[in-house]
Amino acid sequence: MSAANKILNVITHSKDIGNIDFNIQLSNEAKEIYNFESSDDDFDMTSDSDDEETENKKLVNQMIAPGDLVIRSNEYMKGHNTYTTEDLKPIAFSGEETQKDDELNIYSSTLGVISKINKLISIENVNKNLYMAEIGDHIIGQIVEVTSSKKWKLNINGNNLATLQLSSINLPGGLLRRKNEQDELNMKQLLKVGDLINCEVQGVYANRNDVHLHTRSLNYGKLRNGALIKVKMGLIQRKKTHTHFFNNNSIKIILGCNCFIWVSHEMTDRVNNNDKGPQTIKSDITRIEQDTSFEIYSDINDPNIDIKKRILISKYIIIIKILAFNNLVISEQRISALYDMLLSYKTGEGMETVGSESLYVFNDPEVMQELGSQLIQSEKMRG
Amino acid sequence: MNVLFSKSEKSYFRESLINDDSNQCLRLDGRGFKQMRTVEYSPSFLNNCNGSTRMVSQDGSEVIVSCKVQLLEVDTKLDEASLLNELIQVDLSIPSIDNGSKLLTQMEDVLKENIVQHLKGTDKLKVTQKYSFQLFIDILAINCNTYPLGLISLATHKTLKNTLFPVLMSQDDDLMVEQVPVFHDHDMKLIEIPCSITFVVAIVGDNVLLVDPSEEELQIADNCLLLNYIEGKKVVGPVRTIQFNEEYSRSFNPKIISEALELINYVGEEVYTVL
Repeated sequence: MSAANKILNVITHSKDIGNIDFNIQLSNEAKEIYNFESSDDDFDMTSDSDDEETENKKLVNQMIAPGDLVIRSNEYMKGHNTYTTEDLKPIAFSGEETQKDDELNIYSSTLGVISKINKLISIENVNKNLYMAEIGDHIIGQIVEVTSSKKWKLNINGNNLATLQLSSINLPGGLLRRKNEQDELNMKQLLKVGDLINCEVQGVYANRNDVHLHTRSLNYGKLRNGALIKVKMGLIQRKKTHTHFFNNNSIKIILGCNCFIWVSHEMTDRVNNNDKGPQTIKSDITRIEQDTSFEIYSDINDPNIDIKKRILISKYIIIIKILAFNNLVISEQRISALYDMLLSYKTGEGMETVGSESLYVFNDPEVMQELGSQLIQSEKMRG
Repeated sequence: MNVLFSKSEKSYFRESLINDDSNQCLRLDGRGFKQMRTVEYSPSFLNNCNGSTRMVSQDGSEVIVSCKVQLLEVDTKLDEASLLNELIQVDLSIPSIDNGSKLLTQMEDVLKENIVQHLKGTDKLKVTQKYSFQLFIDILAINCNTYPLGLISLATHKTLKNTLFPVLMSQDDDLMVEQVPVFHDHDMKLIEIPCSITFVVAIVGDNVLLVDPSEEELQIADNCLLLNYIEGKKVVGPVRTIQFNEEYSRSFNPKIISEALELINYVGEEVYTVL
């Protein structure tokens, strides 16, 4: 039998692992894109170079590391992610080196690609492990701070914390009510540190550093009855819809654009409401008033989730983990395809029980890899 | 470590585990209560140490353990306990935890105790009357997503199992003679240093015991037990408790300790056969 009932599954690697060359061999393509070689030399550009086209060629699309000199010139202006030595100098010393005023050194403050618009030099960050917000993205955030100025700060897997204003949420007791001081005092009761919020990006300011969120729709709000999985950036693509229902609408999976995934149990009566679709739009405003009671901010889970549903939730979590393990883009089709494969995998191994004990088989790296390659093959067959 | 979970998430995890019927309980990753996470390991991967292990757990936690052997001239006035304390040097570093923090010193202490305890009354590290082997065990947790003691103790155990010692060429009785021990140039031998494995057992509710808890399970556990197991002697003392959360921490029924001991007797035996 496989790892199903084993206490500890151990995978041993061969002894000569020490001899493996750890130098990462980059493909030629990658080298071309990032142009590593040329980034080594500084761009000693003097202000008297007239040929602007060669200048542009030299500057634009170069990879640059933090602290590297971008350009030495007084003609250019510093843009985002750059700094000059002027910034670092304490005010007291600024008067001493006046003779160098005509030459301004611009340095990079991040790993990125240089971009130049007219005389403005800025560095575009290339760290793809962080989420870059775009307006309209459906994301999941976690509250890390309740500030005094009517704001919550959320971790959205980006380089900065996002902001959720008190005015951007549905207050209990109706949409059209004005926010008063009492609400400000109750902020901590509504959303606490650690709470997971299903929300939308309302606006992106200051070169994607300041992200504003809103939850002004009944689809958004606090998340309950499930668990969060974080996956690598890039595994979720922007789509029309990010909320998917599986298994006769009993499981809801929200694929947040910031690669936070929420898997939860969905109460059936809510789902029926959603299915009606266009008819309910007229009565929407009254419904909002009814539904936005304090309940939407409660922490108490639905008491009716039984063990079968919990197993189902765990199964979908494992499915997402398998997809992430194989670096496959997570989509609705793939999740349901893999779910079917899990069912057939079980019968293939001769294990009929759907008990919790056998679920762990799928956490085995080898099984994960096998399932991933099976999935890719079946996708290729279909074309 | 220190992953932030929302309140509803935590209560969901806890509700999954608390039930009168133990068949109705479920760990989030679908493991059995006795089941540990899959471990990948590569032995002796460092060339400049006497023994080393790299171990990666399922959740991405990664630990490197290396053991270096040195010769030490023994101060004969020392009693056995303080001598062993000097002979075994454990150095643990975890980037996410500050040096000298309570958590880190406790882990270091547990790991040292695991080795020192079983060396008492044995001459395993003794080379000659005057000289002894000194072990430097360096542990680096490259990435730890949960309380790493269980993984570290497995890796330490594995390292000591494959640590090679130089073979003595000169005489071993040098009390009267003034001489430095001479070792063989190439030949190395294996000395089995006994080392117990520490298991982390989380207690949730009245009757649920979880072996090798994951981070979310630590966050909702009433209490955690640290139990040491060594082959032959089964579970050995001391039994320690540790808490990882403020929300759910509470006392537990003493009966559960004996249950945990039985559980680890069973689990430990299995783990020894696998390793």
